[in-house]
Amino acid sequence: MLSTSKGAIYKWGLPLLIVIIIFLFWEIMVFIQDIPRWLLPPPSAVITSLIIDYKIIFNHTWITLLEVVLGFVIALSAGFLLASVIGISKTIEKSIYPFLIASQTIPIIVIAPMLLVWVGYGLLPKVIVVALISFFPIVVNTSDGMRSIDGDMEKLLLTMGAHKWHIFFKLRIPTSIPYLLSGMKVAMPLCVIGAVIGEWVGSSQGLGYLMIRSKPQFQTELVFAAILILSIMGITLFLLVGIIERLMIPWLHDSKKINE
Amino acid sequence: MAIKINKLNKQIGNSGSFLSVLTDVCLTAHTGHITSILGPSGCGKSTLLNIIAGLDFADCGYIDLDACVDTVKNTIYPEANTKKNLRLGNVAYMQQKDLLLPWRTVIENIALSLEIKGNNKLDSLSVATAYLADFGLVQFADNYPHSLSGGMKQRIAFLRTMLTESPIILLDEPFSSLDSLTRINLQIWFMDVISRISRTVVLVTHDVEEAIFMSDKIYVMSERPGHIENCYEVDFPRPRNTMIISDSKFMAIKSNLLRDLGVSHVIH
Repeated sequence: MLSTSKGAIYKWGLPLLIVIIIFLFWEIMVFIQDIPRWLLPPPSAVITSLIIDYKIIFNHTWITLLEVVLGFVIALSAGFLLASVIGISKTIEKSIYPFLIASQTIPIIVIAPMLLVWVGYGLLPKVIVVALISFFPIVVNTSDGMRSIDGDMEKLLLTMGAHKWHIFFKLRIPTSIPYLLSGMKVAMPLCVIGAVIGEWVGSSQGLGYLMIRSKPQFQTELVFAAILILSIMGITLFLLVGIIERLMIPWLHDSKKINE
Repeated sequence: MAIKINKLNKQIGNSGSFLSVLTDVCLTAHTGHITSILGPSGCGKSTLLNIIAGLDFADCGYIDLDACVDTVKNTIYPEANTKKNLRLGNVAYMQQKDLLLPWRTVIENIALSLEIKGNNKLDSLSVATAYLADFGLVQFADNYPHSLSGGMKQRIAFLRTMLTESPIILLDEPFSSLDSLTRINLQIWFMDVISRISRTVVLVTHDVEEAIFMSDKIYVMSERPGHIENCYEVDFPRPRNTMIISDSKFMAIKSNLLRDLGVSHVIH
């Protein structure tokens, strides 16, 4: 009991302490230097605006979250499917991989406004940007996982009479799951950035839109409030993947030992 | 007679540089017996097992697997021309590492071969549970392999091998990673399990005492290129216990084996 509470303090207490110290320093510096609010608002002003404008912020947060989740789910499904195909066939891997890398060299900031022209103005172009940006780490990690099966385990299954599909479902996929999950962890914060980029180039809703709208109106504290919410969103989603990881791969976390 | 191998040859390498691994290997293993292949490291023992299991092809030679169940019978000469190896899937093969799938619990690991044979998962699990209960290990059923000791992992891997119900079982140094106490316990346990069924067991080892203690027949293999150098019958009655290790007949076989393996000074 003692050790678990100590662990919790280590895990959450220290980062929280650092945040508090940074905010205090920021607050004091703004006060001493007498920096105008529209240039750099103190944390107290940011939090105040969070409380006062919570309704507006909540509505925009909801939209951004929706874009992130939808885009991520699409990237996850498409990424896993493509990684499976790459895992099955060496030929497909060789023919697809260069295009996969090339797709990542296209600046997303160029693609995002084009998407507006191609698919319209609503939620869809943002979801596509999120999917495009988070697709790559998922495919690369998962296909690495598919290829890193233990050769001796493959032999074992073959001697049991396994054919290609047995190897795929009973060996390749389970081997790739931890890789998939670490790909998801990398992709998750990228999704949040993707949603903001998508909103930045043209939107009427979402936290990215809120930032663009607030800046010229000198409501800088609202810009910072949006940034704060985005960080919290990213961290929460990241932790959620961590929880999914613990549920999906209990053999890596369940560490109880047994004596003969 | 269950396994008959005659003049088996195998080379590895490509274009120009060939390395001869097995030359004219001949051996016979009987049903219900444990036949050992003893040899120094790198003599081609594992290659021989891979060929018997159907994972690898011989260049030329003759293999006849005619076991209690008439599932495997292919004569190959030379067999490299056949695309699909008929022995593959019909010979159980336990490799040096336990190779328990880490994402499967003990019971799921044991049920693996049944699932691959096309049984549905629930049936496979209930058969595996009954099997595990027979050997008094049912309390480990829901554990993941990483929580088990090395000896227990080998037991589970062995039971998984047995449950394939292949008439032929190949064991590639199954005790080599264990400490000596665990090893002797497991050797006795293995012999007990094997005595309950009638299978043809081929055990590959580089441990002289293990070979004498467990086998009915021992083939000695030379260094690369591997070929059979000598053959000994071991006729200690079963069940055996550790008492036989100090028997004079045991000592005699041991010094012969050590001489064959090129160990010149035997300490008695």
